[in-house]
Amino acid sequence: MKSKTLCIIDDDDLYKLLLKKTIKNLETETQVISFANGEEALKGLFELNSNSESLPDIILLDINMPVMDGWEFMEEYLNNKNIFSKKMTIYIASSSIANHDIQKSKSFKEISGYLVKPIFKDTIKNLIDEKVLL
Amino acid sequence: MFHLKNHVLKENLDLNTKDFNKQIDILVFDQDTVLSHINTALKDLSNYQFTLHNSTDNEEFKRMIKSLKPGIIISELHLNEVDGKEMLNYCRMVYPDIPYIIFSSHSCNKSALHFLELGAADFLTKENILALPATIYKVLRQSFEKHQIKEAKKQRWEDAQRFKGLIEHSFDPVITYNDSGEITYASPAIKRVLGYNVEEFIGTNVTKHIHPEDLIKRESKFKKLIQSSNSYATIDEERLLHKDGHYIWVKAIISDGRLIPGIQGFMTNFRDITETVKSKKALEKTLKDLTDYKIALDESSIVGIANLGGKIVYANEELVKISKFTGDELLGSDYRLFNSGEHSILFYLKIWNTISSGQIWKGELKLKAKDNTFFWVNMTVVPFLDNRNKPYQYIVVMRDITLRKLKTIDLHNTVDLLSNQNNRLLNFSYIVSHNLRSHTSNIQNLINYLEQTDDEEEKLEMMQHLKNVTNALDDTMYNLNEVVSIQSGTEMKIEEIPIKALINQVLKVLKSQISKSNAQIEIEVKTNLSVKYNRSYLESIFHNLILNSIKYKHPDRVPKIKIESRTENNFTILSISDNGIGIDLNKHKDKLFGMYKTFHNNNDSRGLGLFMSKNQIEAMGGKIEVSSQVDQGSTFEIYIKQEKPKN
Repeated sequence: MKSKTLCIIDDDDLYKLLLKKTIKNLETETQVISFANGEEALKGLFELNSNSESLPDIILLDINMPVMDGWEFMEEYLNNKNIFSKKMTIYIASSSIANHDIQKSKSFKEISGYLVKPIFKDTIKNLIDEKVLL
Repeated sequence: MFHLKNHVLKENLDLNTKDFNKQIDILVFDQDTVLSHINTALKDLSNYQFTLHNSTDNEEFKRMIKSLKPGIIISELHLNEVDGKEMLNYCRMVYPDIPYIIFSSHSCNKSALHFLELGAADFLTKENILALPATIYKVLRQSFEKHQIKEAKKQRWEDAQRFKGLIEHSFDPVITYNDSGEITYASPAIKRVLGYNVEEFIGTNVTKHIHPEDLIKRESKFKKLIQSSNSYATIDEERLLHKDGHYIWVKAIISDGRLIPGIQGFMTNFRDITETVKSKKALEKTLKDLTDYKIALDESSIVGIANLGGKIVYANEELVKISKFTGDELLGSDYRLFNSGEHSILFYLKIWNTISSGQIWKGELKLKAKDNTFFWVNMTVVPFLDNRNKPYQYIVVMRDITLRKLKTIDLHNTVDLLSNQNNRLLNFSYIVSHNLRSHTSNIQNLINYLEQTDDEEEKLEMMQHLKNVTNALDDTMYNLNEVVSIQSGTEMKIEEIPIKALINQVLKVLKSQISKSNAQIEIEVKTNLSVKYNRSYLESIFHNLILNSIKYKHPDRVPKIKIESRTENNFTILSISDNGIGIDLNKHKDKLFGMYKTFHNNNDSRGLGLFMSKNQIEAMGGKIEVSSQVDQGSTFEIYIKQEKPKN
């Protein structure tokens, strides 16, 4: 199986640490990159765009972040969608269980699913194996 | 006696016979031999031209009378077996106006008398021919006088007919009546005006036809007429009873005709003025209605009238009452007298444009009374247009809607309050789902690890993380509690706080941050300005805002912070402006005052300051507003509600 790249966009360091640990324990070839907020993620993805191979396959996007939150990131991403040389699958990964957040995520057809934190081993495994049914 | 002098005859006849024919045909019923004698005799009457005709045949004679119409007939008593009596009878019957003189060869007194009785003008014997001119003159004179009388009679008759016609065909009725009011004459027009035939009207009493209410007036006029030297009296309006039972209006003139022959009583002519009176009464009613409308309007509404220049020319009691100005102060003033400052010049201009183009304006206005209190009115301005549809004045009708307006404002405030509370509730839900749950989800995750790992070192690491998360959760809970206590307004102590002193105290606390950043702080607040507020809130608000201005200073400039104050619509407004990096309000305005919202990568940002400040300001009944430009700076304005002026 070809190795995949997963991108975490989140300001919660502990969450990122734990998620990385979980992925590592899966013992797959999955690469993990992470950004602290939407703006940094956009900058980073633009840099990676020169080599489409290094762009992530999957993005886990938090909603509540400083500087540029998840929704703002989505708008910027959509405005620049054609620039990216690779199709990336985006999931919202938020601690929010508020209905309006879930509904809002559904208004973006580019968002493939809504994951509620914490994200455990099985969920992330299915995600990487592209077996996710949400 | 028969030899009358010419001049006498001439004089007499000439004087009176202006229109009398002087060419006189004389038809003689006799032998033609007698004509020369007559001719000779007639020379004495030289003023006349006589033409003599004669016949001896009675049938011819009759024809000649008919064709000739002679002025005089001279006839023999008997001629050719024709009896002169028969001829005389014929002439008297058919031509009675032609004088018939018997000129006989025989003298017989008995016959003469007989003929004169039958209508002969005279009887003369031929022996007495010298008397013929005198006889002719006498006959002519008699004939002339007869003619004159006839003419005069004819004239009199024509006059009478004319006057009778004038009265009988006159459009307006004329009646006469005697001292007791009994009607002695009525012209036919009475039928048209009162519906009576002349015959049935005559004999009735005048008073019977007059409206009882008008009778008194009529009688006093009548009395005056009799006592005064005037010959007539006028009654401008009087009601007469029509035969049908309805009353009509007339104008009547009563004349005293007691000394006039043929009248010997009083005359009244009158004219039907029902239509005029009706339209006059209708006009009077319209006028009265208008006056009543005006009274009703004045009683029920606030009314003013402005001239073309907008100056007040009329103000009713209600306007005086509500505006508290005196009538004199109102007159000559314009709308600016009531300007409350609520509406823009443009608003007034719009009204003016509407009404000066002849259209009605309706709307609600806040106005100012003399004592600087305010009142709200629902106003309608109606331009009065002249016949060219140009306004010549404006009537302003207003209704006091102050109570309703205040209630509406109260309602708006309530709605604002509710929506504020709703927003806070939403905000709270956001805090719970993001801030609290982010910690609990981490805790769940950590516990999951702890359960699954056997690695002691990893367990220790997880325990450490767990401790940190628990502390963070506790912090959040603590902050939330603080917010909730602000929002529920518990333990709120309100006191009079001098602004300048409070700012100085805050600056003292922030001394180290200020000196480290070299910030320049300028305070332009009135020395004696003070507000009623909760002290710790106001300290916290200033602390947060000044600290923000220092935290988000522009990297290229020395921070300059300016604190100012002003007053607007019952609010004291304190503003804090800086020259910092600014905020992109298009992007962040909605979230600026949210909990745990940060917009800059700044390690000190906790996303709590503005959230807390906003809650504190709103809990005190005010609001906070922000204006900002990226790279230029930001201004925060704190609205502090002033104490309500006592009503």
